[in-house]
Parts: sequence; structure tokens; C-alpha cells
Amino acid sequence: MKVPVKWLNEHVKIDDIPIKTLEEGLIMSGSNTEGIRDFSRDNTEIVVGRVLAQEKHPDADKLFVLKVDIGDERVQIVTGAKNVKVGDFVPVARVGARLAKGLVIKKSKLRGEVSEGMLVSLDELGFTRSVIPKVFDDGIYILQGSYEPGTPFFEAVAIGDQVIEFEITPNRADCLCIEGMARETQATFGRQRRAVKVPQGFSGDEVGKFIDVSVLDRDLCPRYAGFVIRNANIEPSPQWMQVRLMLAGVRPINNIVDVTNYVMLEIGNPIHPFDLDQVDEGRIIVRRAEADEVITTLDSVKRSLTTEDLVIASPRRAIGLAGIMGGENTEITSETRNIFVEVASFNKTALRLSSKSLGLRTEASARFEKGIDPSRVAKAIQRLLELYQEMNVGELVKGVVDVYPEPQIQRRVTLTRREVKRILGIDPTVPEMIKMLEGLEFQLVEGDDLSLTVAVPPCRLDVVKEIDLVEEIARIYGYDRIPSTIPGGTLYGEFSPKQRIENRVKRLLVAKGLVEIATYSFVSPSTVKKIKREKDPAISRMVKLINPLGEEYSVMRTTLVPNLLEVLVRNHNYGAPKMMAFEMGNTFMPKSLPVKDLPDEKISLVMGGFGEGVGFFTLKGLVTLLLEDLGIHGVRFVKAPKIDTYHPGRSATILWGETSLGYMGEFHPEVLENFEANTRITGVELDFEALMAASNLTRIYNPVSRFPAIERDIALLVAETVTNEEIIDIIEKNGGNDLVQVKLFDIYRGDQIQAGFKSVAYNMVFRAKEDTLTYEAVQKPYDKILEALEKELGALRR
Amino acid sequence: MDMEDKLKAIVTEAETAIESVESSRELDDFRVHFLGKKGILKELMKGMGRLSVEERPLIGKLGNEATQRIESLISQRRDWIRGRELEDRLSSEALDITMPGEIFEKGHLHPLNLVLDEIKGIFIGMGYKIAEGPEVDTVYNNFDALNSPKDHPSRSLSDTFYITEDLLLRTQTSPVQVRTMMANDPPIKVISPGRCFRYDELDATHSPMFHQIEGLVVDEHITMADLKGTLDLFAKRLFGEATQTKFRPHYFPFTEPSAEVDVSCFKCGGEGCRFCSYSGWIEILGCGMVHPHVLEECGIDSEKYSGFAFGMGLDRITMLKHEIDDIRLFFENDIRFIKQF
Repeated sequence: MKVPVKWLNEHVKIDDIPIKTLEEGLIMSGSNTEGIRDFSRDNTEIVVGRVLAQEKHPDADKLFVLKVDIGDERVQIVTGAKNVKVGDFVPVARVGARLAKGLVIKKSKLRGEVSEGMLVSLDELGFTRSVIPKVFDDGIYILQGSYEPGTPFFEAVAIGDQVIEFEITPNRADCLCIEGMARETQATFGRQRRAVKVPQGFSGDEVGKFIDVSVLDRDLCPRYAGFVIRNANIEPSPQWMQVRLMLAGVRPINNIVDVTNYVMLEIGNPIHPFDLDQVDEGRIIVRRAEADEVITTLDSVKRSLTTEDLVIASPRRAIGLAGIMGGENTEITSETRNIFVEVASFNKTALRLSSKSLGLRTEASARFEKGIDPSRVAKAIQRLLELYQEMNVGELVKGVVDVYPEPQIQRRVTLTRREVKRILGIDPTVPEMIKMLEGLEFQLVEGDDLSLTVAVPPCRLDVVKEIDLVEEIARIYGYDRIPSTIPGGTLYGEFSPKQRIENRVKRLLVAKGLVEIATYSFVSPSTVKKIKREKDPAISRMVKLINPLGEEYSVMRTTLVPNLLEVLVRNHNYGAPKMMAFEMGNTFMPKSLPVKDLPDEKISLVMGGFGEGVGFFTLKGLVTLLLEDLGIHGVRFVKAPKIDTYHPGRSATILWGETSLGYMGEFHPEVLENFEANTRITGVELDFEALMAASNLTRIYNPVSRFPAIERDIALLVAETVTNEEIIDIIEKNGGNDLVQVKLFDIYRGDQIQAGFKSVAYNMVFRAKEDTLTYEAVQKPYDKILEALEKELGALRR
Repeated sequence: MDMEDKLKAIVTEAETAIESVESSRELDDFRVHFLGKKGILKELMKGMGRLSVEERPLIGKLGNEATQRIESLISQRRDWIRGRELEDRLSSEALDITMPGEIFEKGHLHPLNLVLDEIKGIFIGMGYKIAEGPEVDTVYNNFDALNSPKDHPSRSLSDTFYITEDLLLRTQTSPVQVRTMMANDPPIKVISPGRCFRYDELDATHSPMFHQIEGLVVDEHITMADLKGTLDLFAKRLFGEATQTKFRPHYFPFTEPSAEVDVSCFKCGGEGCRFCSYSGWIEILGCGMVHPHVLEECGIDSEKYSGFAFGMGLDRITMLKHEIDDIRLFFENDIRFIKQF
């Protein structure tokens, strides 16, 4: 909402308030701004000039040489403008002037002719092209009336103004007009608003001779009013009005239309003029469109309607889309003589849906869809009549048509001091609150020491309940004057057990060198396919979005693996030599397909990496550490059932008892190829909920033996097929109570070892709790271990 | 020379000789020479037998004194030698300390979570718990219960991602507040951080997925003054003690009165810089008193209880704090980016 300050000043005196103070005050009472645009620009170098002579440039077909009186001197100016004539008053930028776009005017020669200044267009004065009147679109702005040459241009015309652009919140449609902002200013600065004059001698009922209105769908049109102008002269509107409209962001068109726009900006009610001679029988019918009814709107677009759209019609055809845009067939043209000016109120929801389905949003529809009270129709009509009368546009027919079967009822709302104190923590007295509310034009109905009842101004459709008045008090009292306190109470803050485990896991992984990544919760189905798990319903059954941004964000992820792979591959391509990463995040499992209920959201943890020293056993070690840290003991890594995601010989299922905690392994070469990875990548996927269920963070002290340990090594020759786990199981089973640790420390395959065999070496630590062990004391278990290994695995001692 | 003179001569010799002893080995040789079983002192004292009975105790005493004297010379010299040897060792072991240190690798939390952890810490310290809820939620929890008008544009397919007519990707973490209020009686004091989704094409300042942190306090006697005090304290903790806050009236359907909160620019201290668009203030929070409709919808007596709620964008705060100029960096997960935090 662009508010020219001088226009606002006509409604409430503010010209004694510095503009920054005005802006800041209104921001703090609830009307935020997007800045101030200054068109006055303290520039005396642009002056009004009078064209004294005009000749064709001797050496250039498209240029003219002008003699211009600029007050203190007469200058020669070369111009390309075709719309200028001798006698015109035009804005002249003198030598030295700086224009809106930074151009500085210099004395120059154009094809041999001296030019001492420049005629300027509205564009060069800082207006956007969309608000410049069509006649001046490509040319110089020509002033109406006559002026003393040399008068500073911004003084001569009302352009010299500042415009505050307000950002009006959606609940405050009442502020989308000068009057509304004047009301806010009045309340904020304690000023008195000036009332709109009511024109005299306009009552009567002659209007009925020329126009007849029937509203068929009253639910969509609570009020339909208007009046008639006869024998109108269609011409440009006065310069002051054109300038105001341009400052407020509206393009001037002609006197009839400009006044409708002017009053819309001032009072807030959109208005539409029809060429009455094109309204057959002078009859207007407000009705729903018929299915597939067609109308060509003012923008020359032919539109096909439905019964959800409301039209203004004459008996034979639709002549306008109610509250959105008029029809081309009744447009005001230079030929128009008789006019019906419509001032109406339409249902905001129906209008919004209609505007949306037609894909047509206008200044009028944008206002109606936010909600405009039908009461202000009368005020808008008064203002229209006043302006039309003043501008002498034609014969104003006495009387107004006004179909308003159920006049708006003025609401009453009660506010108590207790509630203000309870919600805001401040305690103004009732008289203080009355003063604040009266500034906003609430009328006091009754009040005592503890409460007050007010009648709500009709334009304040947002004020319905006591809390709405509490808000009014808060913003007029001033948020900055409300004290700052801290709530008391006995509540304490803490992480939940689940959150503590999450934090613990993240900290551990970061300490071990992993980088945390964050990827989108929605993924591309084709990327999920790349991990080759179509057969796993937990992965392939996905929750789909109705309206994704594109295929790549179209389903909710069931696994974090594809995202992890994408991130790792991307980093590898960027040249990272080595990387380990993890992500902890939700996966989404539909309860049924098609989706009816909320999906199950399960936290998953993935880890993975590539580069030197990052392989299966790196990740296995990491998983082991992580699980031990969570108090999950006795986990086994078992050869995985066939999962195509991983290398069949380099993958495992992670089992805790019978519970699967997840999978890990080097990714299958085909999967890596799908992601265009040029490196081996190893990864782990863990079911974090299973991890949490298995975790045990209770720690009980286990006495530390003070007796020395005995270490024994054993080197064996075994077949390649014998696994580490088999050997360790046998050693542990036969090692007796004092065996506390077994560790593989060497594997050797080579020249001295026959094919199909490997040499493995284990270190065993024996320690008794109550005694110092001797070398001899562990010989017995040692021999037993060796014997069992020989017998059960065919191992040979080396 | 008699024995006494000889003893004196030996001590004198020792006192001279000790000065040239430079190492532990030479010191051993010195000891053997003077005090050894065949050393010169012992050899001299073998002549005791020839002395008279009167002289013996005298010479014996002198001999002991000479021995003690030489031993003390040895002990002093040993300390001197040790000191010097230690010095030699230290200087010979000196390192070129400008050579590089060993490289230890640590991992890194994602910058969004680093800032989130900081914020969680602040609120836990102020007595808040952390509430969580699903990313896919119901239209009811995300909009209806929050007093959002049925025909509000934010509900449209061009603003919100839908799964079905009734299910959507939450556009804010407020549905967690709804769930919290429905499941718990006041007093309630929680923050709810999490992922949110809006129909925005990805560019430098927009992402279809982003993060919010919302807070909710419901109890008897909770006022807008409490809201101001709470957020002011929070801003000071997060951005520094000198931080000022400015509460501007605003509109949200689920709170009334509502406010937007600016904090004094923590980059320039309020003087104006490119981070605050030269205004000295940065808008960081939306907040307000929970609308009575919302309380009632969630089963809380709005005449007995009142509450406040606030929300902020984690991505935006993280970007401002670390001077990150492109939101896409958060989701590209380039290790060169994440490693910087």
C-alpha cells in the first residue's frame, strides 16, 4: 500500500511530524513499512520550461531543435520528443541537473546543434512505466495549465512528495486505503482525522429512470449500489489527480476511470464504471454465471466461466466479472456519453476462489478477497460525487440505487481490565483504554472501573472478541512499553532419554572423524532404485507427494542410503581423497498403500566412507565401538542374506541376539556404477529405534584385577575357509576361566604357505582374579586350546 | 715428609685434580685413584702400622677427614657433571619446533545442528524440554487447529506439499505444539525444532526443506511481558549480552497479540552494515500470545490458562551467524564446507 504523504496529510495533519518519526511510529503501532520513496528530491535544477519555437533539426530527421524559456534564460534544446508543441509547458532538466537514474545533464552538441538541457519524461523522473499515462509513454510529460517559466518543477506540480510503502497484514484490509491509514495515524499520534465532505443537493430519485438493478445471488453480493452520469465529457483527469494516482502506483486513464481509482485508493472500496448505453434496457442483474458462459474482459481476454463465478449482466449478456474486472463490451471510451458507476460489496471467499480459478487477480479483486465492509459503499459514493461534481465531468443524475437488504450490524465487544492484565502484564485504567480505542474510532457504549464495552467501527471486520481488543490496547499502548519478565514455575529442562542417546551417538561419531550431513526428506524414486532394493517392501513402498517440485523430490525417503551415496560420490568427484560421513534422520513407512494414515516415521542412522584406510573393517570397527558405547554387547556380524545393495563377499547383517540392527558392507560394484562412483565405498545402515531399544547405559563397576597377566601367542596353519570367528569361539570355549582376551594379530599368506591355507596368529591374555598366574599354570588351557583347534579345524601349530 | 704432610698433599692433589674431571667415567677413575682399595690414600694408610701408639689416633682421624674431604669433592663434582650432562643432552635433543605437528582428524557436526545445539542448550537452561513430532502431519494439526482460515492461500497446492487431502508435509513445527497441548495439561514449556517444508524452488535464499525452532509456554498467569523477557534473554544468550530486541506488532492467525522481533545487528552492534541492510536491526523471530481459539481447540481452558509461542528459522540464524550466503550449501554437504564449523 503506497501512501503519498501529502494525500495522507489531507486526512490527518502530519506535516509537522518528521517523515522518519511518522514511519517509525506507524511501524511500532502495527503498520510495517517497506521503505520511503522520495519523489521531492530537493532538486531545483529541473524547472518548468515553455516551448517558444520548434524547428526540424537540419541534419537529423528524427530530432527537433527547440527554443525554451526557462525563466532566467532562453536555451536551445535538441530533442527527439514528437509530442511537444510550441506553447507547451514541459519539465526541463537544466545543465547540471541529476535525473532519477543518475544521469547528469551536460551542455552538448547533437549533430552540430547545441543543446543546453533536456526535456524529461516521467520515466526519467523516477516513475515506473506501468503507471505512466499511455499518452506520455514514449514522450515528454506535458503539464496542464500555465506556469511561470523557471519554477522548480517539483514545486509546480504535486509530484514533489514522499511515498511510504506499507506492508499491510492480511487481517487489516481496512488499512488498504488512505482513510484507513489516516485512522491508524490518528490513533498512533493522538491526532484528529478530518472528515470527508458530504456533497449537497444530490438527493432525489431520478436515477430510477435510467437504471434498474436486481441482485439474484445475495449471498455473493451483500450490497450493490451506484449512480448515473449523463452527457459526460471523457477527457484526461486534472494533473493533481494524475500525479497522485501515479505516486500511489496506478496509471491515469481518463477522468471517469481515474476518479473511481482515486476513491478506491482513498476509501478502499473498488468501483467500476459501465458505459450505460451498452447496458441493454439499462438493467443490471447480479447473478452467477451460466456454465460455459463467455465474457471478454477489459484486458481483451476471452474467458469461459462456471456457475461458481459471479457476473454483472444486462438482460442479454454478461458485462463484467463481479469485483474482478469489467467487460470489454461496456468499457468507458472517448465516445462514451452516459455512465453507470457501480459501488458494490462482494463475498470475499467466493471472489477469491473465482479469481484464482480464472487466473485473474486485479487491484479490485485483491481488495475484495481480503474482506471489505459493505458500510463504506455509502462513503465511497459521497466521495465520488464530490469529485465528479468538482471536476464537472457531466450531469450527475439525482439519486442513488442501493440494493442492501441486510445492513451490516455494528458489533459490540466488551473488554475487562483483568483480561488486559492477564494477557499483557500491564494494567492501564479504563479511561486510558477508552482513549486508545477512541483513537481507532471504537465508540464507547458503556464503561466502569473494571470494564468497557465499545461499538466496533464497521471497517474493522477483524475485531470480534475480547482478545482482539486486547491486541488493540497492546499496539497502541506500545509493545516497547510492556515490561520484560521471566515466567516462574517449577518446570525443569532436560533432554529425553532418546535425545540423549542421539546426542551421544553423534558426539562419538564426530570424535571418530565422521562428518555429519543433512539431506532432504524427500527423494527421487529413480535414485532409490539405484541401490537395487526393489524387492524389499520396506524400501520400495514409498509415500508419494501429490504436488512435488519435481521427480527428484517426489517421494518420502524409506532409506538414507541413496542420499549418503550421492553426497559421498559428489565429494569424491570434488577431489576429497578420503571421507567418512553419517546422517541421522527420519524414514517414512506407509501403513498402507495408497496412503490413508500418517506414515510411521523411523529414525535411521547411516554411515559410510571412501578413501585410503576406509573399508569394511573400518566400518565394522566403528559399529563395534558404537554398539559397545551404547552398552549393546554380544553383537555378531553374520554373512548377509543376499542384498543387492552390497558386495556379496563383503557385507554383513548386524545381529544382536535374534534382532537385526542393520546391514553393512562395501557397496556392490553395480550400485557404485549406478551412482557413477569411481571409488569403492563402504556403508552401514542401522535401525536407530532397534539400537535405542537394545541400548543399556547403566554401568556397574567390575573390579580390576591387581594380579599380573600372562600372555601367550599361538600361530596356526589353517585352511582359507576357516573363519576368525570359528577359531576364536574354540579358543574361548577351551581357554578356561582365566582367559580374559583373545586377539588376532597376524595373517600371512605367501611363499612358505601352501595354496589354500593361511597362517594366523593369536594373542591370548590370561589373568586370575585372586592369584598371580605362572607360565606353567596356563600351559594346561593352552594345550587344550591347541588340541581342540587341531581336532575341530584341522589347524596345525606353526 | 711425615704422614700428616702426605695426607695434606693427597688432599691438595685431589682438590686440584677434581677440577679437570669432566665425565662420570673420569670421576670413577678419580675415585679409584684416591679412594679405591689400591688407591693412594689406602696405600698411605697402610703405613699406619709403623706409627707410634700416640700418633695412630691422630693420623687415623686425619685420614678419615681426608677421605671425607675427597668424598665430598666427588659428590660435588658428580652433581656438577650430572647438571652438565643433562644440559648437553637437552641441547643435543632440541627439536625444530617449526616442523609440522601430527595431523589428528576429527569429525564435524553439521553447522545447522551446531547452532541448534546452542539454542537447545539455552532453552534447556531456562527450563524447557524438547518436543518432537512427525514431518508428515495432518492438515488439522498444521492448519485447522492453529486457527488458519480454511481458504488461506498458504494451504494451497502452490504453497504446501500434500500427501493426501488430509496429510501434508508440515509447513512449520507448530503442529508439534498442537500435539503437545493435546497430550499434556499445563504447565507446558517446550521448544520444538525440526524440518519444515514449503513449496519453494531451490535458490540461494529458498529451500523446499528448511528448519524451524518454535517455543511454547502455557500456564496460569503467562503474559506478553513474559514473552518479551524470555526472548530478550534468549537473544542476549545467543547473540551476546549487548543485544537489544525490538518487538513490532504483526499478525499470525495462531497468536494474538502477535509480534515480529528484531535484534540489534550482532555483526555491527547496530551501527548498520550489509548484514542488517544498514538498518542496525535484523528480524529473527515471530511470536505472540497463543490465540484462545488454539488453546480451546487443543483442550485447554483459555480463561484459566494463557501462553506464548514463538518461532524462528534455524537456517536463517545459522546463515547470519556464520556469514553463509547460500542456503543450498547446507544440503550439498560438501566436506570443505562442513569442515569449517
